[in-house]
Amino acid sequence: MTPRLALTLIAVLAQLVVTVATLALPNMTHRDLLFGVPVPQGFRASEPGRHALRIYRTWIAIPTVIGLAGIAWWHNPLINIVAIFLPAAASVAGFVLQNRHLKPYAVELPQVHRTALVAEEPLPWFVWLGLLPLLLLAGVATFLHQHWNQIPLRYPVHFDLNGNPNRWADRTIRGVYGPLIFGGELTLLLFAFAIAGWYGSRRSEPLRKPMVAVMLVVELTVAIMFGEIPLQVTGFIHVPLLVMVFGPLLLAIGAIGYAIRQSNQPRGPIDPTPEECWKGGIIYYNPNDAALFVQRRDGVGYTINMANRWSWMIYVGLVLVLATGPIVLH
Amino acid sequence: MTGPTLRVDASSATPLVRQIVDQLRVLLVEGALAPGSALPPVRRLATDLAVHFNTVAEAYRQLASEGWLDLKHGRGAVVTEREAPAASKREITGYRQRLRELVSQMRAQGIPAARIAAELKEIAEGIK
Repeated sequence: MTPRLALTLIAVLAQLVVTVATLALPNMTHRDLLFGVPVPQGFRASEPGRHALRIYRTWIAIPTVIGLAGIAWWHNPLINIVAIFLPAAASVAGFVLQNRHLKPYAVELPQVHRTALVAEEPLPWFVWLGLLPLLLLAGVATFLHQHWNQIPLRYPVHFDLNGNPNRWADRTIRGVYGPLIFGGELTLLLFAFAIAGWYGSRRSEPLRKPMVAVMLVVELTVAIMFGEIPLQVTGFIHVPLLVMVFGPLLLAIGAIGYAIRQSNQPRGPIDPTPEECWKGGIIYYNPNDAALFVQRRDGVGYTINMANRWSWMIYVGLVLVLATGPIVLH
Repeated sequence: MTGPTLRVDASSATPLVRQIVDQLRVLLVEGALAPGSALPPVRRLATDLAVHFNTVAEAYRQLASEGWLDLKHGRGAVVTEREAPAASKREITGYRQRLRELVSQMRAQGIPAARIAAELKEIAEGIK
């Protein structure tokens, strides 16, 4: 198999994973919601419900086919990336469109919330396992520090389609520790998300604990990826490309599968957030709701209440981490 | 999660602060919230009830001004030992008027006077 064919196959596979995930989105959502609209029981099987699902699937199928043709025709990395994200973009557009179409069928949710007058619960014990990925990165950094003289003065970090190196890094602090610093920032951010998810969501949420667990798995995946890179490029380990790509992917798929399984468990009624606070069924903006994370209406898990001032801290954190990427990963 | 519960209805005509104050006062008067027990922090209660922080903070402040709660910075709200104040004649007249309105409403809905009296007696005696 030529490297070019291998890259094409990886792009096709990645695109199909995105397509399957977007097609499965309505099935991963609470049964009383369809495209972010609270609907009566059995609505999905009704003609307007089935029509909305058909249109949504068509919206995804067309860009998927166009993307696959683009991958096969051009063999261009940029086209591959666009093709992978095309079904996701179409999914968002299709979702918002169907959300608008289904609004007239929305049922009014009783705006009632209940809670027990008990003190804040402590963090679940497993949250502290979120420190392990940070320790893993610190361990890799220590290893590299101890074997500094064994690191080549110049080593390849990027390869062309024929497997020839076309970008190099020097044995400098930034060159060697850059991926670890960036991975550490991402890991820390995800760990903070997990803790914020616990304290910033309602205690009545049935998926509160599983979602924190999923965030920690994603954190571990990120740490493994960024811990592996400097060891691989400096020649200390030799992990096959397929394992490097599909190992973290399998972990992520496992975490998503767990979330889907949890979403299929019998659950209580949907969080009665006010309908007018949802934009397109995706964005939640409610200045009168103290929650930072609320039950999302487009899939499993939580979304951020954009009106909460802490949400801006999350975005600032995310932008800062992404902005430091080009600096530390030169 | 067990313990006394609180319920708010955002679609009700009754303001949210009043819903919280009224329910907490019932729990305090009935002894479901004993002196010394801590209430959830403002942020936690507001998040669980899907209301603004200020709504819960205002409710706590009102109950603190009535002598039910002790608000200490960083400690949240703690139920205090409260001596029942002697109600003035004017206050009693005010309650009497409210009760008359409520009883009239109940009578208008066909509830017999004896039943109303029994209910009022049960409620009054059920409160410590």
